Amino acid sequence: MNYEKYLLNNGIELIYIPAPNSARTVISIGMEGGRRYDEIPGASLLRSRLTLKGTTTRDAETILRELDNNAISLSDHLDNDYQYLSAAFLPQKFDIAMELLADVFLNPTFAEWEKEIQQMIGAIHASLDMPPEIVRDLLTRTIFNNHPYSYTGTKVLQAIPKLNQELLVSEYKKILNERHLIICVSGNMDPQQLLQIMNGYFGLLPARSFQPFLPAFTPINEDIEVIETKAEMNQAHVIMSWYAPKFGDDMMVPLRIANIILGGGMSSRLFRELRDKQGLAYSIGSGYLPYIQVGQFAINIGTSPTNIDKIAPQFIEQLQKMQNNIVSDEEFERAKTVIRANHILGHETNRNWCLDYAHLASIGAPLEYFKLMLEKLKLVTKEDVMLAMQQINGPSVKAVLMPE
Amino acid sequence: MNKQPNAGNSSEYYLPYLEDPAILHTYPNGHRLIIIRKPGDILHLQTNVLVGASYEDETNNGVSHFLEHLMFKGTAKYPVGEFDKIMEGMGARINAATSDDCTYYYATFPKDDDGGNLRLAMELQADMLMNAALPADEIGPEIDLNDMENGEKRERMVVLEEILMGKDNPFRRAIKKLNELLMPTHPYRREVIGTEEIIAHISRDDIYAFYRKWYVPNAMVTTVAGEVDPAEIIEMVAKYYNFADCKPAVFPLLTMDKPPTRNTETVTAPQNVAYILTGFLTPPAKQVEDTCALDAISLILGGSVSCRMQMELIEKLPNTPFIAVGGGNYTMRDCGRYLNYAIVNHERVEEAQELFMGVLNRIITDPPTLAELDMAKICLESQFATQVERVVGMADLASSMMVENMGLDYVQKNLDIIRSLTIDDLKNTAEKYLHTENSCTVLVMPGEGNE
Repeated sequence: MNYEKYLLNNGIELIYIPAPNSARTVISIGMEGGRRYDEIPGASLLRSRLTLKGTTTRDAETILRELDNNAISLSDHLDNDYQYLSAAFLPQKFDIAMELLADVFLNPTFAEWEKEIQQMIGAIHASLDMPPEIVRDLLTRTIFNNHPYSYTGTKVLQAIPKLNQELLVSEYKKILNERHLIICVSGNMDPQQLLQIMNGYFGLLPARSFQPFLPAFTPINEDIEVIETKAEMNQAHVIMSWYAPKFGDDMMVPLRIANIILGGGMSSRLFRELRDKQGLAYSIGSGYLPYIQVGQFAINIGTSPTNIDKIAPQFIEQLQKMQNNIVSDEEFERAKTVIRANHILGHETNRNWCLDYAHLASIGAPLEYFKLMLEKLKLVTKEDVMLAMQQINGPSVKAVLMPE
Repeated sequence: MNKQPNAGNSSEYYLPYLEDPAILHTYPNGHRLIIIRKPGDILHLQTNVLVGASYEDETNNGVSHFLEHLMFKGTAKYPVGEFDKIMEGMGARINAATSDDCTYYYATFPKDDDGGNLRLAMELQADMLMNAALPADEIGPEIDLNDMENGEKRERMVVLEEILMGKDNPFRRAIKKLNELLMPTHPYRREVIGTEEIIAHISRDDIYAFYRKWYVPNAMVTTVAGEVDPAEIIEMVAKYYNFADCKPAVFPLLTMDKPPTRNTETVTAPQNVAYILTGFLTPPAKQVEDTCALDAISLILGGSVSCRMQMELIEKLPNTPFIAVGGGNYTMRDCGRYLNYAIVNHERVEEAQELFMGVLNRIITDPPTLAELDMAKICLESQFATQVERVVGMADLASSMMVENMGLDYVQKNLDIIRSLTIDDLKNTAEKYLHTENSCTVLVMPGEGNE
């Protein structure tokens, strides 16, 4: 997708993505942040939940009514390494949407923090009623050990007494005054006029540079099995996970190919072998998440409790086949096509592009990332895929949720 | 109207936000084709088969969904696994789903220069729908539910695993119970996925007979969305969806239940929080004046960020027992369901339920204001704009009009009705359908399971 890059008076980048035929305009503010920057588990989550809960001039009710009365979809997205605030709206609502977005971004008070903590506790308890979430929580807090990537719902619940308004305000000041920001807009607009508007809202913020915070991380150094039980469950859930190449690593693209071949679709090896041939599961697959400090590779299944003992050996067998053998031409070409197609299918709307550019810029990745990735894809060999899979060789965590 | 001799009839329909009209083409055998021309790099192919759980009975509940799984198990031309490999090999996202009213199969994939992807996708999907082999060894033998560890496990077991997964979801338990209360006689009361007992034992012959009965041209609506040439698509579909002689499907007319009298049931399950789910029986999708008004009411009451429930039960209520609230109006062919839910602190359910029902009741005693109506109208318009941004969204919207016994003209008609809604429309519709005396409520409470 074509984009145009401008600089606000203070050096903050404005990315304009022309989308003349789009029914909606989208604005995203990408922020250097995410769970990785949390000093206390849950700080960024609570801040994110308070996005629409009041500014210096608007209370929550006013914000929510203004959003609905103008059909503006405004939301905050929080991940391990990034965070963005995004608004999507009909083009004729640009002025009010822009003003609201700027207000919630620049002037939050976090005054409703105590009430929101109670809401957050409830929401975490509700999410932990869902078995797939229980096992993901168990796995994540184990494999990421002392690192903020491990700040799952369970860890947030334990840290609730340490969360307060002062913490939220001081952390948010860093975002406003120090941390890298990027503004992306997609729609049908005059870019110069847009630049002027953005300068009016954000051009007076202090200049900043990208200085990623990389908290200490002590990886686990031996295989760990963690088990939780829940009464009256009909299915068990098993996830095995390993450390994997991090974001930007040369092995990232080959490992994405490997992941598709192993467990990334209906023609993948895990789907064919464990589901189609053995009927062990409805839900089965693998996933590769390259975070900034460390990546994670995982294989998961939901299966009858009687199958639990059969699962891990089969996961290992399939993993080792990929590590010890070159994949077939057919699998290799199919996986590369899937990656190219996902790039197209995942960018059908201007919103997709706007959010992806905000995401990339907020983690310090080049906006040409997708172009570069597709170029790298052409150069990957089948041997690279095997080598990438061989990197999944460190200690593993096996998380199991089973009936009591 | 553009008549094409020997090939059926084509009609054009202008859809909002699209420059070129959509085309509805009906072939002489009854197979209907919708062509949506939308510029872009992505193509979407979808076939809706107009059979789902509502045309099942107590002996074969779940067969539509089980059949959906088995459709991917190969044909004489493309043995099991080939469809997935070839489609994913062109970068297609493929899947299928079953509802009460239909079963649909789709592929979304990048457009290529010579149209080869679309031709291949269509050939494969048509072959799958017309010539499914349903091999006995892929279905797998019957399963003893008391001894699931042993025996050969194939797709039958995959579906049983899917049933087990659903049973562990507290919200799904609530929906199941609510459907039984709202529609005690209509087949909508049953779960689409069926029961373990039926899936464990249903025979290949019964599944095959169901397939042959329903997978026929007059029960299929195929949709192609993207930058395509309509004449080429009409010809392509005629070529690949080349049905052998088959008996046309006869669609049963099912009798709707009367609105229920107020009823509350409690389900217990081991969980952390409680759920309140309240539903009302609403009219069939085709009664668009009512369903559009109910869509607007649902935004005012529980489906928008500033809805009454959010404001009264969460934002303005100090020390609220509510964790989340929501709701929506869900249309179906024979009747709809208007639902509102709340996730609440389980120690304060009684108090929460009273407050929740109070807000629901006030949609009658304190009808929507002009400001609320204006909010609902612009939000519905925006939701529409969001849906049609993607070829999948456009195809879903258009095909649902056919599944729910409407027509493509209802896309624009819906939007026109929404734009013309008045406060009186909402008031009258609420009084007609949303009296709490006609509501059913399911509470899902922490505790030892009673289901």
